[in-house]
Amino acid sequence: MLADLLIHPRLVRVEVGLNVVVGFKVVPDETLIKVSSGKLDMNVAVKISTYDKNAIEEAVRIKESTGGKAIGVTVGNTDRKTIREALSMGVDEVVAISTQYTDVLGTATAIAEEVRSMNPDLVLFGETTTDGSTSGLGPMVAEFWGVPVITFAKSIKLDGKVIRAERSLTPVVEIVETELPTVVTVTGEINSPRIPTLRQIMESSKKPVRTKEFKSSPMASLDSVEPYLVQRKRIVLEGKTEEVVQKLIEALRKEGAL
Amino acid sequence: MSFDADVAVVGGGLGGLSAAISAAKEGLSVVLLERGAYSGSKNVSGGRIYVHSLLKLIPDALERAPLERPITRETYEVRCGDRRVTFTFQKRNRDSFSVLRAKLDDWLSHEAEAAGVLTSFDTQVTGARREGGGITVETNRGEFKVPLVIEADGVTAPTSRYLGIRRLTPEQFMVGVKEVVATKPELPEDEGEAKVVLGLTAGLKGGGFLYTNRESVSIGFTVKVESVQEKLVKTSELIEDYRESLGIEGEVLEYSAHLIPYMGYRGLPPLYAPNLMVVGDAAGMLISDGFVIRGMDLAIGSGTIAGQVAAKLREMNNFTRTDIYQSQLEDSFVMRDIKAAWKSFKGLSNPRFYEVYPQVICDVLDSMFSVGDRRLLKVAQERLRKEGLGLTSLARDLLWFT
Amino acid sequence: MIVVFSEDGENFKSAAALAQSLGEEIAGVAKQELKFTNKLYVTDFDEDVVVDIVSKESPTLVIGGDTKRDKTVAARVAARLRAAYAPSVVDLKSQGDRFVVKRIGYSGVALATLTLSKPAVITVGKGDSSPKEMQTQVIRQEGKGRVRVVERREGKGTVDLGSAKIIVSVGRGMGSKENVKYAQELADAIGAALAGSRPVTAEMGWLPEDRQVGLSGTKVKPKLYLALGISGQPQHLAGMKDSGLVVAVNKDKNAPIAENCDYLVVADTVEFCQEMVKRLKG
Repeated sequence: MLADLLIHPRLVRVEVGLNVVVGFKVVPDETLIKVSSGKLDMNVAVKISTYDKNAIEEAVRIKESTGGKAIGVTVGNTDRKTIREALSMGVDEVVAISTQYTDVLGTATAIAEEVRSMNPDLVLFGETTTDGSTSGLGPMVAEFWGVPVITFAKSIKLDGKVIRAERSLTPVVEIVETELPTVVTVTGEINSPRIPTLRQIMESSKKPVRTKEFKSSPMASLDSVEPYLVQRKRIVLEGKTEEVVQKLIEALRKEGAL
Repeated sequence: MSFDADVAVVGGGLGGLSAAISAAKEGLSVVLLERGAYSGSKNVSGGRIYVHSLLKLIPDALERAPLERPITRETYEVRCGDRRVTFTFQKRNRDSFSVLRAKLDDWLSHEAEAAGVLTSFDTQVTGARREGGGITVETNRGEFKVPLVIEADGVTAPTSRYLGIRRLTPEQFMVGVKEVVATKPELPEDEGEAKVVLGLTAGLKGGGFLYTNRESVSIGFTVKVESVQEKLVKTSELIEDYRESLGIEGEVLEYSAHLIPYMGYRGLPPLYAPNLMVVGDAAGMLISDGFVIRGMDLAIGSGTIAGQVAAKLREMNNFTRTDIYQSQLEDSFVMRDIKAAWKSFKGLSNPRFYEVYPQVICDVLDSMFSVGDRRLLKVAQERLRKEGLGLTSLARDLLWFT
Repeated sequence: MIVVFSEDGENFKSAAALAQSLGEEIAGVAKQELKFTNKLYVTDFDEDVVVDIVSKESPTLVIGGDTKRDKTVAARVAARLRAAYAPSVVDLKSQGDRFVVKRIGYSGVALATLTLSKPAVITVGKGDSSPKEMQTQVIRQEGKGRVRVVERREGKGTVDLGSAKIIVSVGRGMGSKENVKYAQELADAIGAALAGSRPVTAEMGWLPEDRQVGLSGTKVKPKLYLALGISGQPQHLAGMKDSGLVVAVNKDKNAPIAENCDYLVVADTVEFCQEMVKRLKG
């Protein structure tokens, strides 16, 4: 048995599962943000940022197929229900770092600190968050940690310590390869996030959540957030298709748009 | 038989959350299933809450809950064409508040989480069956076995129907149509108005309301289902007319048409079955007596009691004795108030309240103010005679309310 | 020193134009010899290599292009320089030792104003302003990074949605992949580019992915944007808000797109396309 392992070192690799860290952000549900009296009402329900769910799903799949661990890290809002959603999807534990306002550089600093101490094989993020949408977190963490980064991956394949990914760099698609450890950001196409069962949700309440605090000194300060509105005419054309099309064509010609 | 939790609460509105919180506070393991993405997402947003039962559940709720404005002005308004009669009663008061349900329910769901309730959103219950001494709940997230279900799944009570203890008939419901409109109310910051409006529902059996929120108003009306069917009107057009008649301008932030229970004390559905307790709208708990519409405090009250009974049942190690819930309800404000409202409830079924009396009141006052020498009672009598009614029938109708 | 970079020539120009308006010495990094900066590094654009070049210039401001690769490089440069970072800015003002920028957030719902300390890294999209030609010192710099490109597939039938004057865009409400041909016919009849929402491009494959308009696709600003059967999720609106005139065709009057269009045609999308083509050709 031991001899087999020595001759076929790849067998050893299979026995040692990959440890994956996945970053996810708790954000206000942007579909609920409304403008009222000229102000944005941001006090709405929160959720895991859309593509971060894909990152969680991918982390859990890798963990399941290699028998390793998946650890979640979140910075900012540490809403426990939302964190539990990540746990019920299959993440083994979550490090929840609470902080006041921070910019993406601050978030990256906090996560890189954790990542360095955990020294995982792979760190995953969503391609972008639905609040700040900088797409910057993955590249920054990679830079701080000193490893390569693959952004906008729509599929990834692992072969030992080699990772191969398909990058969606509209309109170009690149297949790239590098060695672990590495940071990867994933697009929404990479998978369909699972819907945890009630029993998994029950179990998730027993999984560990480590809470920490991070003092950030942001380089980019947020001065104001205003509604971004483009006033439209909102003219409704209803009736028989022939008639409304006629009306529309006339209107578009008058506007000089056709 | 092993169970997944002590209690499953179906529905994450005020009733379900209150049940879950009170059961969790008693040390039970509670899972709450809500079909929306968060609590309040499936709710008609605007409304008014009488806070007494909320304060029993969460004593410092006044400081922490997202309440809009205290209702300090009660206005009653009768419309007939371009004429109107209005009276306003003012009192510095913190008994009831205008609320936006999306915010209030979401807040209460966080209270529930903090109390140790496990909430599962985006969870649709698709069936329920009796099995192994408990109930197996079927959902889009798999099955779940519990010895006790608290049903708080709203007016159509699907869980009761899955278990075969309830049937629905159209007479049990009214249609509630609501809008939240962005507009800055012309009231001091710490004052709010609740208005009942009669005569603006195009002769449908029902009444309108308006509540002032911080930076918006909630308007809407409730009408009987069959009257909408009879008169063949679209509720969406009705509410547009209603908004215009009230003279409210602003962006419509939310619109919603919902069924609301219209059962009264005698018409209440079964409130319990072995291993099951029913709370809030699902139990038909609504009081609408022509002056106030109350549902939220009854949902919270019945939910709180159900949670406490759940703890008692576990202590007894007998989850079939849910009849205790019914008797505790009877001893509480919930059933006392629903019973007391029973008479006026029946009065409201009388079409004269919606079709004839608003007109009569306006006509009477009209002739009073334009012809100074006629006596009020005489005018009223003449006017009523035209409708084929006497003063006695008016008196009888009004007596329902006292 | 300001550093300007982009893998895309047109985007490099708009970044260079912004840099020139600030009146400082400029270094550039590009794939081609574009003479709009005092100094220009010409490279294959390996990300590791570009990050090194840009960072070594010790810039006070870095202006990157807005492609996905550009943004990846920009974020890494910001981390390496510990600099303030703001991608896809729509407005930049220099205020003493700070920059004030505006950018869109919350999937297109909000306009945020941020103050960036120096050094700062920003990215900008393609714009209308063009830079002045300059005397440029060209330096070739190649190198290999840690990530190897095994294969490269150019997007097929690429249309430049970013500069299209008219766009016909389809969503789920078109009904089926087969029905997309009616939209194509309409697009041909009015000289429009054909695009789609995220569900029909990235998820259902009715159209190639590079036709996606939205937060994770292309941001477009045509004179006329015809949205066929698109409900109008914030992520989609984020990509077409700057359009001149927006026409939506939808069966559902209450879809969010109704609030965000100039004309809402309540009709079946296929019938609408057929009728439009008939009238315009007739």
